[in-house]
Amino acid sequence: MNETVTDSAPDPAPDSAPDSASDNDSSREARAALFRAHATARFRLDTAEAARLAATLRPEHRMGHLLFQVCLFAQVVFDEYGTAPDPGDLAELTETLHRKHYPKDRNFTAIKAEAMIRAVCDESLLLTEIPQAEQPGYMWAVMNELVRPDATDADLAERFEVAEEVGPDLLKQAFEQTIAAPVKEASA
Amino acid sequence: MKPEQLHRRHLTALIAGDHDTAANLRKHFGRTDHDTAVQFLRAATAVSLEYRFGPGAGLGAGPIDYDELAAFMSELRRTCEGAEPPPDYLAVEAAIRALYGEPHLIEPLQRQQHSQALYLALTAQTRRHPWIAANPEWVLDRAKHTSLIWLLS
Repeated sequence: MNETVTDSAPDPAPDSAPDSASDNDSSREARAALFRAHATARFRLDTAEAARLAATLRPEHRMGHLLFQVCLFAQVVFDEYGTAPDPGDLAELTETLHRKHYPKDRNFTAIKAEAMIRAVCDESLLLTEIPQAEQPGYMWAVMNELVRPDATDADLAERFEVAEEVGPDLLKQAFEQTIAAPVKEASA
Repeated sequence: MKPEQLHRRHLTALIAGDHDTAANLRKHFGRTDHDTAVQFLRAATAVSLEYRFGPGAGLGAGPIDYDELAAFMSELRRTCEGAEPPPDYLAVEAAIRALYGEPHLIEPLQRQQHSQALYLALTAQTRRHPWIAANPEWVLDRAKHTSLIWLLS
């Protein structure tokens, strides 16, 4: 996940890249600020501003942005439903989302929004069945339904902080559950 | 061939897994026959699903037993493991739940997508209950009955 290292670099030692450390820090901060500004605009239903900010995202940050949004989304979901949502409650939300979005957007498939919720609870498999490019749209449909657009800045800031913190943990967990799992078993 | 006969033969071929015959019969389809075929397939699927999720599929039953649905879906995912491209499992779930009180779930589905989802659910049931496939006439009669109720309501 180190963005400064490329396969074509003749000398991959991180130290050899000029100013790599300070560049990384400032660009990481700028990226985090951009993710937050974009999320704020989406929470506030300011679609024009959200679209403008999204357009300034660098392609290599797309995956990181998705991860940030997934963490934000997971939090909103846990706050509302806990880790084991009642299927009846979800079905109700799914119908509400369908009535709200489908009349304007005939591609809006409400069951995918519901599947995103279940994906961050205990059906992570569903994350592999919804195209990644579609995931943010469905997550925001859910978040905008569950978080009031007039939530305070402090409330949003708290959510952003948690999302930034759990992101790397989430990645590490996913990694351990897949690639690192056999190693763990062998050493246990 | 009368439309009724055409659709019965088409659905019989589908239940038997005879895709060549089904494709040949579809060559005789007129403008509205594709929609009719999906409705008839949906009715037959509803009949078959009653043996898993209880009576009244498509006729007012619901909500579905979500645990039983999750079990059904994970069986289906195991059966279709390795299929490339993979089936649209969420569409299958939508098609089934739509028959048990959540009809809005299939509104965004394309006709083809819906029909493939229904067919996956139907074949899952005929695999589990071979007598369904062994008695297509009986399935068709019941499906006809369900389709009529849909048409009239």
